Amino acid sequence: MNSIEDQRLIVKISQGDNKAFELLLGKYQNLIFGLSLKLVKDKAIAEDLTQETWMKIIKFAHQYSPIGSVKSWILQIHRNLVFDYFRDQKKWKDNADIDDIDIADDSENAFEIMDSQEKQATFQKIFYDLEERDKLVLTMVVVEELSYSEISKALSLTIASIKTIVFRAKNKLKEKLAESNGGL
Amino acid sequence: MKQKSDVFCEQMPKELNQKILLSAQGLLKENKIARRRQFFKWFFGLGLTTTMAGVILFFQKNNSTQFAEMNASMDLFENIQSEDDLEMFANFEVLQDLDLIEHMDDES
Repeated sequence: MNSIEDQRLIVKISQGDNKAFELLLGKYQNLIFGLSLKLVKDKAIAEDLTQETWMKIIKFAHQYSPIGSVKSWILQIHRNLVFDYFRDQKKWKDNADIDDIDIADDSENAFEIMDSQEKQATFQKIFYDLEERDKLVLTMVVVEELSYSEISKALSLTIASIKTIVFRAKNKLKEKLAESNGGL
Repeated sequence: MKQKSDVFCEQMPKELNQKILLSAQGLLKENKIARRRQFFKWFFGLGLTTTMAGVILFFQKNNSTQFAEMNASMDLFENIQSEDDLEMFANFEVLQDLDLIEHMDDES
């Protein structure tokens, strides 16, 4: 139902409807801004990326195909802009620095454990200190809920590297949670 | 139900919201114009197709009239039985021209 409503808004935006744009902006603005802020760690740049994302949404609204959800489409536009920004700033690293380790972890929903506010707050702390590439991979896993092969195609990284990035982040999260529990 | 993506949400500043809405005006207007242009293209395209179809139908109808006339001429030729008839037909226009010249001479 939600998705159909979003699709209706996108169609109206492609026809130049201001009200539809306001509604869609209101619905996803905090997610896009929050993601930008956490990924680039600079308020001014995050604001630019957010604005650019919304302008692209209007510009390409007529190209939206209802195969996927509007939310995924918006996130994809945003992710491409962030990816371009990282590459322009020479902040993007490929697989080179990752020693692919054999990870027996078969769960793609690696962050199902984030079920409490405390865990979410810890995740945010860990996320903030990660490398740009790793952060983008994690947002694709956690927010966009993409499969490893989809992420691999989008970012030109090997599936093993993606698994390693997720595995490391998950371990860090567990360690931090154990530390904070031990400290209490 | 709280979603995992909510972990990433941050309250967007009101000023940025206003800035985006302001910048959006121009692009939304462009979308409106593009849609209108598309409608007119479709409308004129439909008009042009209808006209073309009309023209084709007209010529088809005209062609069938021409065919009928041709058939009538064919009938006439079929009625020519002898060489004398043929000669008479061949001279018909010349005879008619002569009549006309004579008629003009009379008037002068």
